[in-house]
Amino acid sequence: MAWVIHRLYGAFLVMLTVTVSVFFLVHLVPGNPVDVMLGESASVADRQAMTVALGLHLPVHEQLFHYLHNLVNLDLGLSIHSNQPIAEIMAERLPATFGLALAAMFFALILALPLGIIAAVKKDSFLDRLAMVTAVGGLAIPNFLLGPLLVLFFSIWLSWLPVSGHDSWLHYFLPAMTLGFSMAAVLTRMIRSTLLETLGEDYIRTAWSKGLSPGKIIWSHALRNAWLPVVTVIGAQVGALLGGAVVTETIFDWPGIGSLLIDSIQKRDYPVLQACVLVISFVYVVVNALTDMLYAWLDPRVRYQ
Amino acid sequence: MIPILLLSGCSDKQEIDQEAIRFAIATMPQNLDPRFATDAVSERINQLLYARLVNFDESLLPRPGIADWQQLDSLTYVFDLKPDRMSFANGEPVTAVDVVATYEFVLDKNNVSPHRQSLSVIESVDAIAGDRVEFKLKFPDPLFPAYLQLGIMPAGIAGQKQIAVENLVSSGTFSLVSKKQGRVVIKRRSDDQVVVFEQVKDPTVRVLKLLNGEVDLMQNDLAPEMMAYLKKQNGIKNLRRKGQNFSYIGFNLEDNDTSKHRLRKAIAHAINREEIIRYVFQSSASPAESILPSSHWAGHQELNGYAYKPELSRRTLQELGYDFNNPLRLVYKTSTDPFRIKLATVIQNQLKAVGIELEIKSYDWGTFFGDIKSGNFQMYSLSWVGINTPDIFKYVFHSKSLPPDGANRGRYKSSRLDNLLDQAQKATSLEQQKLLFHQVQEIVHSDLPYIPLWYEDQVAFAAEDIHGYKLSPNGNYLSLNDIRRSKTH
Repeated sequence: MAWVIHRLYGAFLVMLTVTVSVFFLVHLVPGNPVDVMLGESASVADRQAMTVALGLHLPVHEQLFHYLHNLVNLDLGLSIHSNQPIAEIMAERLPATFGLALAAMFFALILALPLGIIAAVKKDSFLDRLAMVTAVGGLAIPNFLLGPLLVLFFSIWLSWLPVSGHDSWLHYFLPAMTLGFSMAAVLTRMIRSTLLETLGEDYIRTAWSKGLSPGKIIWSHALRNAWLPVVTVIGAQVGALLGGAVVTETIFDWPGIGSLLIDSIQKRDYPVLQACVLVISFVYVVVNALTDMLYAWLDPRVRYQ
Repeated sequence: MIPILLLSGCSDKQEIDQEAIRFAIATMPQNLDPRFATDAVSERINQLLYARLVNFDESLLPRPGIADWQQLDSLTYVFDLKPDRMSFANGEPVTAVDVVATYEFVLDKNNVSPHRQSLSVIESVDAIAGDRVEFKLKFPDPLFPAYLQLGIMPAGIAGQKQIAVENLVSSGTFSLVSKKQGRVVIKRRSDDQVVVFEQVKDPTVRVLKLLNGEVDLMQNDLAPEMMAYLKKQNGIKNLRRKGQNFSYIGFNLEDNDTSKHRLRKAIAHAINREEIIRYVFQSSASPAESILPSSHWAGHQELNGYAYKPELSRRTLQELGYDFNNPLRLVYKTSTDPFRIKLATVIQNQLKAVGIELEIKSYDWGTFFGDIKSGNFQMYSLSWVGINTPDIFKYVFHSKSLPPDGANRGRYKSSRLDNLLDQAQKATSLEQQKLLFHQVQEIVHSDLPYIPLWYEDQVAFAAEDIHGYKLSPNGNYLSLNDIRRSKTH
């Protein structure tokens, strides 16, 4: 219980710091929403009227106070541009982001698990090298290149998958592969190195000497202990995915938090921008907490003070 | 995968049938309420959704839209709604009351419409019969009919400050079906042909979607090399037409260096526009000499361009005290658009050849435009898009049009030009105005607050079974009124 309270307190501090920092930062950026909304031809009087209507005439600290006050009442406010409640906008965007993150994670795991295990078990073999080349390739190819290459191959040459959009389950494949490939690369290397380390332990040697089957040794003994660092990496990666994959969302016109964040920066839609950052930091905090809990479940020796 | 499949259920695909024509656009329209829309995509889609009192012909002279007009005196115009005009999409007729309600909303300063300023010449607007609207002006302005570009909305909702998208009622040739994430669906009222505007931000993905048959049509916002690639593809049609969107290099005339007229002239002579058009644009642009193209009713046909004369530029720079050991150093600001940066790099290279060290600074749009408006620049490049009326010259070059009162971003001041612009505003006929605006263009061309660069062509690519789409010089989408898919599809 004390641990949960401690984590909640930490999460609250992180989110408050992020919210306040972003609030001041966005107000320092040149350009303002009134210019974007009214265009250059609006009169000074109209410009002033719009500034007052949006509450931008108030000192920044007063604007921050109003914002935090509304936040405490669970009111994220309205988008300056569309006048739509931001909670509604987030509700539209979050499922797409969560869906893509899940799909990317799924793809990364089904690729990284066999590759990492084969690479560790068949160390220094052709298969090991092939797995490592794939992993290095995954890390080296940026998403803005991998995405169009996958489109070219799967959509244009093979005509198997749609190029972009968000209409059906088929639309998940290419963005998930694009996002998941680099994650798979990290996981493959991590699984290989931690498994190699575990396979060299005395208790594994004992298991071999007792004549246990290779499958039993790897799955039941080695892999379970190799999971801890892998889970840490997965936690960090999932946090990043849920925080919005800006490049991938742009390439595949994915209506998630990442593309909303970019749009809100371009339009100087301050409340939406702040809400995006708040949601992203919240997701990070939650995923980190869940990762810690998973740690304790995977390794009963781990206990929190 | 089950949660993923569940999440994928949230789409509006069911609204879009196989016969729908899918039009890929780079940016979503910001506002489909014509009283507030300002961006180009919104304006283009709103032209389809809402009828206007006045339209333009090919030379951009104002022509009757849903109303014919008469000028009763210099301050009074009467508009008679045409008997064969379309009704609203809800079946109600478009009446003078609707016109008045729409214009009164925009003119009310409490509503902070971005169009109020352009209609500030209007003193009053009244419905004087069921089909007749009278506009009274504050001062004579022969360009007045051309300003009446507002889409007409029903009086019942035109007075509301906020109208939800689903409550918008169209008066144009198309009705609005839906506007959701990255997609606007409209339906042609004459035959129920559905047109879907789909946002595809990345130009490469737009091209791939067209090749894959996921979209049927795309227009502009493509790098020339992409255009060249698409032209070679089977099953894709290429449409092209000379454009009117004017690109230029702007100078800060309060800067120590760029305020020198001879220096600006030296820069103009150092830029090889023909080469840029041929190689960078792959001939998909034409040289420009003025904001208004020569095909415009007030356009000037006899302005001679600044020819590429690097020797003359070098000599002028030497006379101004610069040489390769003491080069002129200037900063050129542009956006983060890769093609604009590429153009800036070519210009940088051409200026280097005459001894000018050009530093390119690219910023996101908000920062870039903020700098330009506040005069925080030496040189920048931008385009004027969708210019219909010659009063743009007053807005851009009059000494009283410094931001925020206008777009004289370079702080250009010429009493001679101010006088001509003031005279043009008071002129009683378009013919008089035309002569005055010709003189205005000659002075601007000679003083060089802008270096005129080019008009980029309007370019579209369409699937082979798409017919009836024609490009307009200003890139509007009005030809969607005639578009169709061939029956063999």
